[in-house]
Amino acid sequence: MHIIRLPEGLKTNSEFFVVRWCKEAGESIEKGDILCIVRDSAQSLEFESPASGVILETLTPAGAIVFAGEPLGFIGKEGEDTADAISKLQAQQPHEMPETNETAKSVFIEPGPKETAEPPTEPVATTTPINQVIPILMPQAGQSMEEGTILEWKVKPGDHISQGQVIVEIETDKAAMEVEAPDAGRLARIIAAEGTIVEVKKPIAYLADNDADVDAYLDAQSQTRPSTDSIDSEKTAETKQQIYKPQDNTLPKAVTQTGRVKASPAARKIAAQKAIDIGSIATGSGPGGRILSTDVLKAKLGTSQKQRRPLSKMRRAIARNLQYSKQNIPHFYIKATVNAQALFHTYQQTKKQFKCSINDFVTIACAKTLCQFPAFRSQYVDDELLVSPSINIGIAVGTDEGLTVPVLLGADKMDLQTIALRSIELIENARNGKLEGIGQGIFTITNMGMFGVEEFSAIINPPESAILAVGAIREGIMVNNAIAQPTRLMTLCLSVDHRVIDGVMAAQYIGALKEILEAPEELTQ
Amino acid sequence: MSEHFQVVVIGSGPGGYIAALEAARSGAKTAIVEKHHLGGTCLNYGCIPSKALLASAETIHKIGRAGSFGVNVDGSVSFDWPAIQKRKDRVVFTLRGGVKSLFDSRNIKLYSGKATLDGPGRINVTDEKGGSETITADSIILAVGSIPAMVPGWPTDNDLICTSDEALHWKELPKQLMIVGGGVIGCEFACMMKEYSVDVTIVEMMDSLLPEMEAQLGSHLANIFSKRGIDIFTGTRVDRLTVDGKGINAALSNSQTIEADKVLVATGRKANTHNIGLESVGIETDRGFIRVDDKMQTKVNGYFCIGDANGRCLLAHAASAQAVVAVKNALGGNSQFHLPIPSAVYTFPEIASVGITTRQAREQKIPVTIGQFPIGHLGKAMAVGEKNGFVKVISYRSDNTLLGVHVLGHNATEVVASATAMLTVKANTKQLAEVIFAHPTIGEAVKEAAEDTLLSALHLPPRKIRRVVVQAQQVRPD
Repeated sequence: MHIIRLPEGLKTNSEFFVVRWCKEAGESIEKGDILCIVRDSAQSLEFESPASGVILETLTPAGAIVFAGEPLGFIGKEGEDTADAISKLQAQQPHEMPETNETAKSVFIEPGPKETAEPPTEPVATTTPINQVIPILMPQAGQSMEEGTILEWKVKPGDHISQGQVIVEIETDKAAMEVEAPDAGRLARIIAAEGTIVEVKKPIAYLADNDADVDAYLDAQSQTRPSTDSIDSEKTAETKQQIYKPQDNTLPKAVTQTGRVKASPAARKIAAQKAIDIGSIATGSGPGGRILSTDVLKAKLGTSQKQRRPLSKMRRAIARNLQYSKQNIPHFYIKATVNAQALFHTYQQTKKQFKCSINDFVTIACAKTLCQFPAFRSQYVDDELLVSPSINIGIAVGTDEGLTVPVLLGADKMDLQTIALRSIELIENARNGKLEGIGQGIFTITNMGMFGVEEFSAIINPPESAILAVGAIREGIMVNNAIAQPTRLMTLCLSVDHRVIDGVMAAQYIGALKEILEAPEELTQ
Repeated sequence: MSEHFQVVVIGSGPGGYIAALEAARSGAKTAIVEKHHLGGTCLNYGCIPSKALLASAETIHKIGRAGSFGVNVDGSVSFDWPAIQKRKDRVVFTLRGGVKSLFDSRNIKLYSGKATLDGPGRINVTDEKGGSETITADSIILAVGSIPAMVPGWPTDNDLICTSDEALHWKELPKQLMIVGGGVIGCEFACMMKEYSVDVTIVEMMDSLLPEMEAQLGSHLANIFSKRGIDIFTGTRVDRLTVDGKGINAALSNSQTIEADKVLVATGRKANTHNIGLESVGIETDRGFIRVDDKMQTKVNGYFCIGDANGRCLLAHAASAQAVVAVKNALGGNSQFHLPIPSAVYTFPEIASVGITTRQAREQKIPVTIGQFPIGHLGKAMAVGEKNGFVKVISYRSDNTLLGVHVLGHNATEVVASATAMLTVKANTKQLAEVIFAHPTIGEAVKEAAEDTLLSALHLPPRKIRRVVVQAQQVRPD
């Protein structure tokens, strides 16, 4: 069971009121789903669930006034009892207003449980006795952002920075961006060097009047931090730990045990500019064999060298996701060829009325059939099946940076024209780096028809249970009662998670899909 | 033979004099007893004199900003404190005369002297010369008001450690003034004294200025004050206060020390119910206040109490409203008092509130919607160069009933009137949003803030939508 709280550092001294809960107590929720919407004087905040599970209890009903850091409710497994946790919580904070005279403000940081015996799970600023050490954290610049790379620091330790000043440039899986100082003060220490990858909401630097305070603060942290288990504990904690640690310069080789090349940011930059594989430089002249910019300049420019390029964040996300899928989900594939003559004809007619695509017809057909097949709305999670009530269909969109899957929420409630319109928006937004409904999909459609691909099989987009690969509509022959008739054909290939869906069910589903696509008049109504 | 009245009112402040006027208007034979000046605290030691002094201060403040309006004021700007005091006295004097002539116009008998209750239905009036007279009444309305509270144990030198009673009549201005208490009186004095070139420090025990009001008002005002150079210590107590030949030393709970040549104690007011013979008729007090029901009736039949003395709401206009209720009930009617009471703070910019605060909503678990509008967006605010402030509207979530309106900004005390009217008729924010406000006015912000609760404010950009992952923290079993 987890207690969920209003993030601290949204805006100090600001009150929020809960506009509404998107899910009620007792309902199950997926990580990334919107839990509730709150508002303050200037903005609306959509609060995303940090975990999957069941909403056990909500503490702040719609209309309630809440402050940063306050508890909103509990998420956990079905049937867990919250009574104890609630009484404990009430004992801690008997309806008092949050303290306004903070000793150490922190931005985007887990609130320290006030006067509680419970060990904090995150770096806690509020319980430390050290005055005015303000951690600057890797911001979360989008719901899917898990980590960011430090590109360039715009300030150096010792600088006095003002609130709002751009202090560092970071790269996320979507874009490079500038980070503004959340607070004013003296930048005492930078702990994430340029090139370092840091998980969101982890400190990258500290503001403090003197360095000793930072040491004392970090000491206090390490004592009050018995474990690092965060809510997504399935993540490989060890490998992350190594990546996130400030660079350890005691190893003798430039290449660390993890295969990471130790090099200064400047060295990396120059190497990238000169297309030199930094890994080809055996040992650098820096401490512990760290490669410095001078080492790169000395290195010969070899023409036959392979180029080494870091993965973009997006590439890495795609790699990780699909590798997970293919390795963990037992896929099977079934195909059906649809007589697409009528579909093609209807499409031609409809196109005259509003802008639409064949894919929109497939989408609405899927939305309609998915209503009848709960299995295709189910996800295999922790030896349980989670059945989603809403028909949220992902549409695979290839962009210059890589594959993305924006999600059409509530597709079953839309008519063809709405689907067409929303799809255009979704795709357009996706190409501009703005993704909608991420993580809320239950089924994905991928269509390579426009490239002339006749048929292909796709990898399931986890945690979904099926994906439909749609081929091009092509001219072909169909044999009916021993008579060959020229017609138009379209091949569908359904990839299915066998843990959730068996062959018969899959066959029934694709049959239903074929049937509805062969009588497309219904789809336009 | 003592003279008998249907209604006798004790105290001629904004509660008492209204009670007398209402009783006389209703045809009752009425008398009023006042031991000091007509008009009570409001007219003589409160609302009116402080507003007169604030008006001079605001004039200085405006001249200081003349340049930004393209108006050049050559030479040095100075002020004449005795002349300012004189102007204030003239205002007060004129108004006192007004009350007297109102009494005369309705044949209300005025007794000048101290009233003491003397058994059921009997009042003893002692005048300054020691003369004494007893009158009797069917109904007695106690409108004895309140006096500023002093901090027990502090030096009692009225020249140095003052309350608002003294401060309004200072012959000379202090150089350094420490104000203890950041409530309405403390804030008004701070705002005023700063313009008279006094170094002002406010020490407030609670976490913000105006701790009784909507929190956002106090924090916004603190920002404005700080920019003007007023030192503010919130969440701070005065631990020790010592007076020596050179001045006053205050040791604060944050271990700082403040020097001042005068201290204004503005920590609150207490009921002026001591020594008025309550025991002779069996009326009990609760921390000095005479508790009443919604009809303003005390526990003893025929005795009513209105205004500050009943401790319900220490505001002049509340007393006046209660006066009318009390008189109606005294004359056999059935009237109850539970209307929204606006409150006003005459700093510049002004502050005004009516209805519930977000803190109250939170404590009473009332589900609400909140709308806001920054006054700086208004054409009028820009034109008159008063862009600081906001209007905040709180409504009941399910049916949009208006619950509270809080205004900080130019003419806020006038602006809140429209909201008070709507609150009084139990309107909802949809109705408030439908009202046509004249353009350009500051009042337009009330409409816009009401619209903001409905997400339909046109002069606000749509709220930015931000997605934020909530924080989760594992709950461990014990």
